Amino acid sequence: MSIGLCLCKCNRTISDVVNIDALFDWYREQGIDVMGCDELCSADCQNELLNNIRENEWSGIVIGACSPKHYETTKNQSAILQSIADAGINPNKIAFANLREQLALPNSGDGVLEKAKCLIDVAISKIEHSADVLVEEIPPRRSALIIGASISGVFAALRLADAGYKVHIVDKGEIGDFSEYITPEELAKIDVSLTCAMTPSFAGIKMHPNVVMYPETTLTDVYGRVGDYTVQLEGGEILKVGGIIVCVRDAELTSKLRPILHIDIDSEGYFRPKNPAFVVETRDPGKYLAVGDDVRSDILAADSAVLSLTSILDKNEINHIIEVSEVDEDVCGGCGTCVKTCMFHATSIDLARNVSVTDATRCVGCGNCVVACPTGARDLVRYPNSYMIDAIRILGGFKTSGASPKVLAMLCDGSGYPAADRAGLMGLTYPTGVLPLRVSCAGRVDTQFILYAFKVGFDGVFIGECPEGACHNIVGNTDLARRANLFRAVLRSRAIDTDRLRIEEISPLEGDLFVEAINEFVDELRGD
Amino acid sequence: MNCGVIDMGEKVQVATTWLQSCSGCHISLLDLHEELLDVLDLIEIVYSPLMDIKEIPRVTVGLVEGAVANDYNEEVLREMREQSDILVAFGTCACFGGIPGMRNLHLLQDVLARAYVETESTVDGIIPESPEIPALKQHVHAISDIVKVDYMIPGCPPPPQMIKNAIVALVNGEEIVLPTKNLCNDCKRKHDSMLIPKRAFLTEAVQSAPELDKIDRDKCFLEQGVMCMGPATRTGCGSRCLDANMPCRGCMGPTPDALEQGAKIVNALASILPAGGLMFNEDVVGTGYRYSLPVSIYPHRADDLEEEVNEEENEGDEQ
Ligand code: SF4
Ligand code: SF4
Ligand code: SF4
Ligand code: SF4
Ligand code: SF4
Repeated sequence: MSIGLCLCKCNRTISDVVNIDALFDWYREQGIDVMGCDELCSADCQNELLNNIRENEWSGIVIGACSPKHYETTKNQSAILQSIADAGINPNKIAFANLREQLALPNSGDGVLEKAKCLIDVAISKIEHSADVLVEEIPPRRSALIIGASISGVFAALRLADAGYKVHIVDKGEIGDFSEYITPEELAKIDVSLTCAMTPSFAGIKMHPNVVMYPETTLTDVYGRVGDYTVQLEGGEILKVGGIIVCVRDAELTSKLRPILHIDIDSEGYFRPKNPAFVVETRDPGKYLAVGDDVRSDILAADSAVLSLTSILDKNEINHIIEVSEVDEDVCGGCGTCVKTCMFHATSIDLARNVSVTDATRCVGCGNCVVACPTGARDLVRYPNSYMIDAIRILGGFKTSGASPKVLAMLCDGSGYPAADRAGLMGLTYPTGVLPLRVSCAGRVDTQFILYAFKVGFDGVFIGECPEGACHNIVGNTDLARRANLFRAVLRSRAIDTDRLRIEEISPLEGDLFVEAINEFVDELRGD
Repeated sequence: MNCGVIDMGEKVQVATTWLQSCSGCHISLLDLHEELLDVLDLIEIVYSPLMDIKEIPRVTVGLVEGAVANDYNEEVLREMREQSDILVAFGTCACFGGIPGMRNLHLLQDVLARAYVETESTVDGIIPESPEIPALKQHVHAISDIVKVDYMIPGCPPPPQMIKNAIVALVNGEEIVLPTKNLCNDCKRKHDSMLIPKRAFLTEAVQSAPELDKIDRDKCFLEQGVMCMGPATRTGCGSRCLDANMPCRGCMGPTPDALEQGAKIVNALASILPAGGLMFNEDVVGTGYRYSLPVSIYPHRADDLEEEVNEEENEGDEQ
């Protein structure tokens, strides 16, 4: 297997702090193909990268650049990931070393070059320990579910129906009563009465042959992926749709819908977009939010959500990366622990063979079952156990200067990791001895990893997770807390101070809180 | 090691020994009763703790019971390795450190002080120091920490049939193959709510040991709120405790995919029983690491520096 390494200077943001030339030489000597570029986000650099992949037939690529989140949460950047895959690299063989947000921006001084090597080595290890993921192509369904017959819901339904989509619109109340969706103050701002504004639109969806209305109906289950969702209504009726647009702006209803829809919420309890700049997109490319602050922005949001959704569903084929939790059937004894742990009802026991199986249409790849599995039979395609252990070993090899403590920061994908990115972008700093390791979820933090971190010489283990009630995977933080409560007895039995394990709740945008918490932890470890 | 060298014509020469142990594994071999005679048709035990022979002769198979807790244990173990073509860790103490391994939760000086000075019945106790008495090692070790081990027969003690099968396999020039699944796979108890794909605690009720007579003898222990190590334990014992209405204590050690038993059972139970089960909650460490502390990820206290182990010979077989 040949691995390529692409080092981005990020227009000097990285290269002013990290000696890129030294990294170049170091990895060349290890027999790794290295290429450099000034700005990987530019079209020229991306083309050069793609050419290099094809020419050198790399089977894996490490991107040492800005945060992987950048590539995963913005459309134009994720396009490069798709192009890399098209150039022949399996999506599971693309790994990132976050040299900007989590190194060049928050750190400086002596250890930076060594830390860069650690981060790159971890990314190489990820490629070496990860199997290829399966990529499936499916034709998307040209139908949608609208949740909430609010103003944006009705507009979105009309647009989709006119574009030839089959639309199902579900509301917990009567459809056609807009008074709960608009206040008299908002109404005063627009030039017509509510009746004049909404009655024609309502009539439009009511008359439209493509629209089916489900008033006074609630959802009981939603699963599947973009292009192919299965929706169950109370009473048992099943709908098959290609995408979902959520048009509710009500915290109580949101909390009821969240365990069914698995869309993240913000600190006020409303659904939140995956990226604050792209207000209609969620982390699931088939689920959109269309909620504005007033009538005008409601309608704009509806249009934006419809445009985003149809740009995907209008394709002939959609690629699905199957990143489920896998089972080693030689070891699984059918105990059912994974079945009880999975929040997404994705695991079950095949009674004929007495082994656990995963439903790929439900599994979100959070890894909670992998941690819970008492035999180690389960593993996660995206973050395999052997990689996690090797990554901790590599990071544990980092030498901090003098008495400065070494901290393993396991950062969850939903909050801890983006918060650390945010901290870098905010220009905040923390010691180089804080070594970040991305995990899919707090529920992916195996207590075995924590023990191993102390074994390889970390002074402290910091876990950055989603705030209570806002876990990306609903129960990851709850399960980590339960595990940690029992696990502290294990630490005590080894005479390891339980204060050396710190679990901190952070929202994705709270870079300042991340830095405050991590600096306080480092100070405590140092004995200040 | 070459297991193809066994000459079928003659009886296979076997040596057995015990280190830091309770002799239970040897007793389990004797528990084969009349079947022992079948085994003795195949092998000749030329050296064992029950025989008055000073030197370990050259043998094809060496069975080592017990953990390494003092310098004499290490000496005997190294000699046994030297003299055996095939060295087998015989029983959980040898495989994982076993019950004696729990000593690693304490500093050596505290252990000695407790044993010789502080016990309630001791008057004017002193810690003995004499070149005649083998020095206790700082930590208790599984034998694979010290020498290369070819096979293991786990169990505290291993069931007689398992020992017989292992010996017969070696005599036939075959490998000792251990099952790889967990105990639940072979448990005959009814297993219902564990299998329902619904996120919830198994039961709100949590039972403790004295109530074992009140619970359903045919139903999974965990489903009744009783701590059972079965999920984190390698199967192969024939579920003997479960059949006697006692939950599994984990004596067969971890499954091959787990790094250790203790952390794994913490991970598992935290999400399925309230507070992970009362019995467990009271003694997480004693429950999770009872038999395998010396092979766990962090096998001793942090304030107790690891002693030097000869690295070259330290290539334990991780079967
Ligand atoms: S928890 Fe592990 S061993 Fe138990 S059923 Fe699930 S995969 Fe199998
Ligand atoms: S990875 Fe998460 S969603 Fe998938 S089966 Fe495991 S617990 Fe369920
Ligand atoms: S494994 Fe159990 S039976 Fe065998 S020596 Fe150790 S304590 Fe005794
Ligand atoms: S947990 Fe114990 S009682 Fe329940 S199935 Fe497993 S081994 Fe049997
Ligand atoms: S049930 Fe558990 S403790 Fe009992 S013999 Fe079997 S493995 Fe050992």
